[in-house]
Amino acid sequence: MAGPSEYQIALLITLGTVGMLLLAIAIILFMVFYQKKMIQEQFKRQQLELIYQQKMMEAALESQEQERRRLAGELHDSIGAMLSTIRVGIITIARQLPEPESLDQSKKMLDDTISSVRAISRELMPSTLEKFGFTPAVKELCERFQETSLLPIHCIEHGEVRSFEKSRELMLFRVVQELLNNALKHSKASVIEVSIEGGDALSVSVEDNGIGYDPDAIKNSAQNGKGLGLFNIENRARVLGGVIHFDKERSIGSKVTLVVPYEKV
Amino acid sequence: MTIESYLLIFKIQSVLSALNVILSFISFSKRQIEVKLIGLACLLNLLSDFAWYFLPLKGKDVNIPGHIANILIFIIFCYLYNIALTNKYKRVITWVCIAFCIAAISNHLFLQKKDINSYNQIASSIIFILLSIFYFYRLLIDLPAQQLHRLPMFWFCTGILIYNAGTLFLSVFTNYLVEVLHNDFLFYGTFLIIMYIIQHLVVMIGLWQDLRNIKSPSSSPSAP
Repeated sequence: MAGPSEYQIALLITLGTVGMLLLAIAIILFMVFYQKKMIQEQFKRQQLELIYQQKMMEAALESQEQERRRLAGELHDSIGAMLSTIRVGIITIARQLPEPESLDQSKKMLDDTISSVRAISRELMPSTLEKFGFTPAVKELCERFQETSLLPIHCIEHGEVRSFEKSRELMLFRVVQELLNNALKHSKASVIEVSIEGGDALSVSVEDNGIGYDPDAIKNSAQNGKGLGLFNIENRARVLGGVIHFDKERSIGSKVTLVVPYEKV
Repeated sequence: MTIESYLLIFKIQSVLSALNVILSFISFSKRQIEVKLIGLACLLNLLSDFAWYFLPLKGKDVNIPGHIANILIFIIFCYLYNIALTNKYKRVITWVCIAFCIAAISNHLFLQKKDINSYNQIASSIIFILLSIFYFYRLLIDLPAQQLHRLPMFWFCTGILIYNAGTLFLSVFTNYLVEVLHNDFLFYGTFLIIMYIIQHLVVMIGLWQDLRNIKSPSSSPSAP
């Protein structure tokens, strides 16, 4: 580099090149970090949306349960009580009639109606669950289903099942109720087994030896109103913070297991 | 800086270019059009290098195949940006391309008539810097949640931007360097080749990412 002007030109080329390179690198780094920030923000937004959706779902389920509780109360305390009063009235009238047998048919129908109202009320809000907790309520549910369907329904309890929040117990109970209903209605099984396992996490499974089903196919047909039961089960499991597993490997029947960690309930 | 070391770096650059050609053309039918274009550009670059090696031996100082290759590479890169910008700016890019081609051919025939047509290089550098910045800008607006590092075009664009930003000032002062600072010309030439090597390496990352995306489509760069 001979003269000062040549030196200045060389310096200009060097500085210009370095400056341009730094600018290019700055643009690329800005892109990368900005993008990273965007992804983080999107992730946060998704998390918030998920929490919001879960809360909404929880609120919807809670209001549904409240409505059921109210209906069960109305049925039991109001209609049930009125029907019982009518029954007493019929018995009184029958005593005064020359042929009391003529009212036997009506009395029988009234007795059936009272039983139905009680059953509906119990199904809407199982009193055993409120009084004794989840496991006795499931056992009672199995007995009741066995009585009506005449199918052997075994309820097995392993380990110590801890009690937890009533609203959560109710949600879990609804899942078992729906699974049992499905097994009875669609599986064509000859035996159903419900097992409740305590331990580190609460695990409830409903197993049958029926024709089995493909949960994905049923869920896909949810638009026709077919897979709503499974949809509700999954929603409840999600709100409970649990995992629902459909055993697809089985050759005979079906097995659905719900595992809920205790800290979630 | 000796001529031997310059030639060695030049050969390394050619090898990297050849590697990029191979990487672009593996599983040819499954590759994106952008990758195929990059492969074609690298192939032209390689052929131009061969021409540079052999033509002076036959007594030709002006590297005509090299200039033709440069024009073709410019057209390929314009097409690449046109695809990357989803054909939204097709007309602008086409006109820029036509104007550049006319200017480059005129420059080659009537103006500079040299081995290094620096005016063409200045114009192409400025155009590609602007296109790269514009592509990044559109990328931020259109695809805010895209995983950038998994996007081959991001790496191609990065390589092109770094190369052109690094060589712009050198191209501006090429005439001065040839005539006045000819003693240092080898140094600047080596720097130019190093910038080429950096471009090839960055492009190579993009090609590798594209291969990864083909092999495991589940981890494609789509938004999370």
